[in-house]
Amino acid sequence: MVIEDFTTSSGQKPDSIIKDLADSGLHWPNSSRISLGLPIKRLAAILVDLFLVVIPVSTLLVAPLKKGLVMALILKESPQSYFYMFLIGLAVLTVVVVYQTLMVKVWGATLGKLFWGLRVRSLWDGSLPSLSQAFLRSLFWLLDSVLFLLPHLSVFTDEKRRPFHDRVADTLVVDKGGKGTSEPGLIEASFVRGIVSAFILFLLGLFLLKGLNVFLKMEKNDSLVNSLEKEGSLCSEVGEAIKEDFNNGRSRYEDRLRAAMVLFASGKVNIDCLEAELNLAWVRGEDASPLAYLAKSFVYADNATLSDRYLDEVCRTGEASEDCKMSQVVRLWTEGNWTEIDTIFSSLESSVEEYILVWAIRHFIRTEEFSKAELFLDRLGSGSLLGSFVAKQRVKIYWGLNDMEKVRAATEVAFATLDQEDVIDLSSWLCGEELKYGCENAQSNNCSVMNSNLIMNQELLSEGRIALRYLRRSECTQDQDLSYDMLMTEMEIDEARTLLSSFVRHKGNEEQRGRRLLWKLVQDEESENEYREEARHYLAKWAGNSQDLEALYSDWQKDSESLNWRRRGQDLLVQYFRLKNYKRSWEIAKALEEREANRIDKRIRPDMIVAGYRSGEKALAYALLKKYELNRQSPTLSGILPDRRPASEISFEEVARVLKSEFGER
Amino acid sequence: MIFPYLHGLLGFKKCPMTWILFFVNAAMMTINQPDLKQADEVIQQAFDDKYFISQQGRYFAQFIADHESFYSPFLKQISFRALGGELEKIDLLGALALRNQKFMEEGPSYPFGGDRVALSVWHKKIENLISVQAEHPNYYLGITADHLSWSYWFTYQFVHSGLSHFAFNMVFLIIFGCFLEVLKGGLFVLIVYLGSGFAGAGFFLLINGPTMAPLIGASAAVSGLMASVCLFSWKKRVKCFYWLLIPIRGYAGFVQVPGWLIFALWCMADLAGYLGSLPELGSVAYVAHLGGQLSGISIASVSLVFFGLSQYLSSKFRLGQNHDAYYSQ
Repeated sequence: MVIEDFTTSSGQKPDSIIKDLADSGLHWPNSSRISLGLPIKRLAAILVDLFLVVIPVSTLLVAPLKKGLVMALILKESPQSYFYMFLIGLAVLTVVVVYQTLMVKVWGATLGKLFWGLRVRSLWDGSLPSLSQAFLRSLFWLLDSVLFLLPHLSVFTDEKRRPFHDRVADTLVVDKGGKGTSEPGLIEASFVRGIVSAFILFLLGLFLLKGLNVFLKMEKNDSLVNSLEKEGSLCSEVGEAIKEDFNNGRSRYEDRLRAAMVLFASGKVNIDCLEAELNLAWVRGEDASPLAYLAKSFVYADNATLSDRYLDEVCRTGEASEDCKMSQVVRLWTEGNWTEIDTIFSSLESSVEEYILVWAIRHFIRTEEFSKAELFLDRLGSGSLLGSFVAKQRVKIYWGLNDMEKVRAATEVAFATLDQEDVIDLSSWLCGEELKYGCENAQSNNCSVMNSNLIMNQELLSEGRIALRYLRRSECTQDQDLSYDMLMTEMEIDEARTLLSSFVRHKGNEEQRGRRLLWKLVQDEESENEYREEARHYLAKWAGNSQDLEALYSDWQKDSESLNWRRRGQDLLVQYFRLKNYKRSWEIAKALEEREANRIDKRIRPDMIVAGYRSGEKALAYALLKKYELNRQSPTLSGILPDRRPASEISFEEVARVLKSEFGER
Repeated sequence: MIFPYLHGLLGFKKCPMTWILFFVNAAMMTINQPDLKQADEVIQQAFDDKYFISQQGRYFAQFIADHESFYSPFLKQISFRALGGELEKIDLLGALALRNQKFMEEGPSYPFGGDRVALSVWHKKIENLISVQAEHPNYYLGITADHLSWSYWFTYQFVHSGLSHFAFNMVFLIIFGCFLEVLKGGLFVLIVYLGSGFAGAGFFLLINGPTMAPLIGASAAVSGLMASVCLFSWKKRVKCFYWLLIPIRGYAGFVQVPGWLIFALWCMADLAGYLGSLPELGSVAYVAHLGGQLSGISIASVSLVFFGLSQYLSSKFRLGQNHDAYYSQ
């Protein structure tokens, strides 16, 4: 170790002899008492230089460049902005080099060094450095600074306190007033060396991590870029649709917006796509048509007042237009006036706009008027634009009509023709519906199709409805392999996460907390309706005590306008029946029979009749029995899903026999 | 870090005029504070209203395209991009529109086509905003395109946009004002303060032209005071406080710096600010600072010349009187 040798036994060991010879060659006046510059003073000098010269001068010098850079950044011209950044960097470096070189050459010190009484001297004779020395020194000073200032730290370790730049230029920094320091001691040097090594290791580690991260991000970014391109400022789906379907002489922009409305209605594109199309309309100065106003009312649906004003404008612009009729429908949606909507849709002419047909179909499926929905679906051409929509809705309609043969046929066609995403959507819907009739359907064909497809496309779990149905199935199968962590990361919908964690709690002997989570979901009016229904369903299902069930019941009584009123009632009826509370079951059955007699699920009818019998209203129970006797043998779900055996199957046969004999049948 | 200290904080007795100026500024600040807060909230709401801003951006883009000769190539470029459908540029223009005089004057009655709902919403909001601005101290006391008469050239010097703006200007007002007042008297401080304020406004209007964003603040006036102080102690030592981020004795304290260096550093910072910022986006009136500095230097030079002349004359007629005492304060 040079330092050790130098400080402990100067001139004794071979490698330091050379050094000493060199030292003795120095033609310093009083070379024995060279006072080296204190490192802290050197740091202070750098700060003075920075604040007094480098920062002010370089800011002024690069000001016009900075302006250009800001402009280029705002206009997103990346080659130009990189060019400006390069120029700014170059200018700052030039300022540093020129300033240091000139000052050191002429005065042997920068302003900061002058201030602190430090001087740069030539190593050999203590004279002012030459121009080349000054230039080399400032150039390498810059290099030292770029390397995280690390080489500067050799002022603590080098025997003459010369960092890299001083060694390159054969210079050293002395204290003019003699108030400097001597060579660094062993402890000082080792301490700083240790710190430097640790820092370098830390930096290396950081770089490795960063590099890894950048690499990983790059892969992610690629897919991001793709999806951005896909969405772009316009939607590729609309572009595709327009090529194939809309060639009827209208302006291209109008066609695009119409196509976007159809796709939006059928759920193929989201609101951003519609907004992008409207933006194009604005650029063309064509955003004042009834259709554009209607589209805007969708886009600004979050802002009720604004959305309403757009709706008003639809009819003001085109009173006789079909768009105006649709605007009335939108208004009725918010009021929840389903009958009025029925009337409007039923009065539609046959040549109505496609997007309105799509809304009509969705409306009738929602209100479970499946035969009307089927009529409208037949009016919709099954062009490739709406092919998948038609295929999926057809299955749902047949399901609603309880026509299982057709469901099977339509499903087979759909599975064969649709792309994977649509297959998952459809199979998950079917599976979800089947599971409503009992967990024994969890192994059905549709559920398996959903499951196997989802394994390959886990990212689709981020879609609320699909996640919901998947959860429903996993809850049924009590899947031991199910990874809740995976589900939690894949599912992006808050409601789905709440539902999932309530399942976990329910399984893990924390039933109370699980139920509380469900209630929170039920009561949160901001949440997606489908999830609130699902939460109600599980609350009813898990209702060990009847407290929850009673709360749900009174909730149901109050909420008689809801579209899900019948389904919720059926759920409650079955649950009360299972708890052998026949009286309450019968109350619900009567309410359902009064309002929705034709739509009651035939699979719960035996329960209704038994409940009526058990609560003593035999005459009414018999009337029900007679009324439904005829339908009982109509096509069941057999084939596509195993017949659900009602809880009361066996007792029902008995009850039916007793009732018949009591009321005079053989 | 280096910060001018000079004589430091002097009391009211030693520099009454400076303190009076400070009190006037402080009083204005206090009186205006409630109005300022209220109006600022409304304006902030307008900026946060995405629908309003994007509609305004669309109209401004269209307006620029229709009045190309009035706008800088930079704004025209942004407008071109916005009309091409870049949403980001539309929002940027929406915010910039509020600073543009021509658009704010003609826009509300300009026949923009298209979406009637958007147009009526925008009309209502922009009219509301204009009426709020009329009650905003910055707008009714500052210099804007609508307020160009001489009284505003006076009032704008005493209005600040917020506490930090106020505090920053006042610290320098007291430091330089007190120093100058001891040296040259209260009247001189007042002349430099107001004169530099006028010059700053003049410079600003000359170079930037009238804008809808108001010009406010004492900074032009304070720049003038600073420049005067620097000229009077051009080669003399000015006491400054320095602090080198090193927590060791000797690395923070007072240092004597020549006046020219302070002036040069200050000028460079303002010049860099002016050259480096886009007038369409900038929020600091560097030009006004530079105008104030120029005026401060000029007033001080004139006074020096007069002083030299009077000294010359008095030495000619009343020999032996020594005026050096003025300098050594």
